[in-house]
Amino acid sequence: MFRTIIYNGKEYRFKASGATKILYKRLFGVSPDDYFMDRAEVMNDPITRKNAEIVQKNGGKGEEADKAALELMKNPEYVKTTLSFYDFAQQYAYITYLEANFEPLKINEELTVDKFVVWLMNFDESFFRENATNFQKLYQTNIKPEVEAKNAGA
Amino acid sequence: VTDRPRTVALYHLRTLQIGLSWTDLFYMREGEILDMVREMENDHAKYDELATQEDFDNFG
Repeated sequence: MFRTIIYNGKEYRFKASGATKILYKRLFGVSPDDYFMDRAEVMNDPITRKNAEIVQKNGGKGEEADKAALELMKNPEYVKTTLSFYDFAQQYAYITYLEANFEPLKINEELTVDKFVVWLMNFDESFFRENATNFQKLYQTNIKPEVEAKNAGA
Repeated sequence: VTDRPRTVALYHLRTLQIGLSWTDLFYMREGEILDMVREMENDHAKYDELATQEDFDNFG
């Protein structure tokens, strides 16, 4: 599962796999699923969900969208998960970059916070904000199962 | 088969139970691995009713 992003004239390849979740936890101490679980909980609130839909529908433009965005900003949990999304994007980008560019058995050597920080210096902050949904899609495509569970929890 | 919360450790354990190597994981999607885990769990699924040979014969 690959995704290629061109930035400053350079091509960056990212690859998600069955190992991504384990590598991510190994370096960052949390599962990449945690962000989406927290976000799902925040979006369970019908008012938050409705405001988010209004903002999304209008592309964040117009008076109605402004009002809805303001309401969202009053919800600390919404703000927290929105900021976490950019952390997720940076972290997921690094792990999937390693997977696309290093041999599986060499990746462990790159799993240090120092190397992660040095790698981040290749980009400015807007790169991750602008491409956050790219990494979200990579994540979602990677984890999507097709087989249904029979007698789940039996 | 379990109701335990899905953690990374449990995911890793299931990959080992299936018999996947560390390198195998890099060449598969997580979704494919989850499919295999589900199929392993589905081996133990209980059905209220099972088709008999007579049912199959009646298909014709």
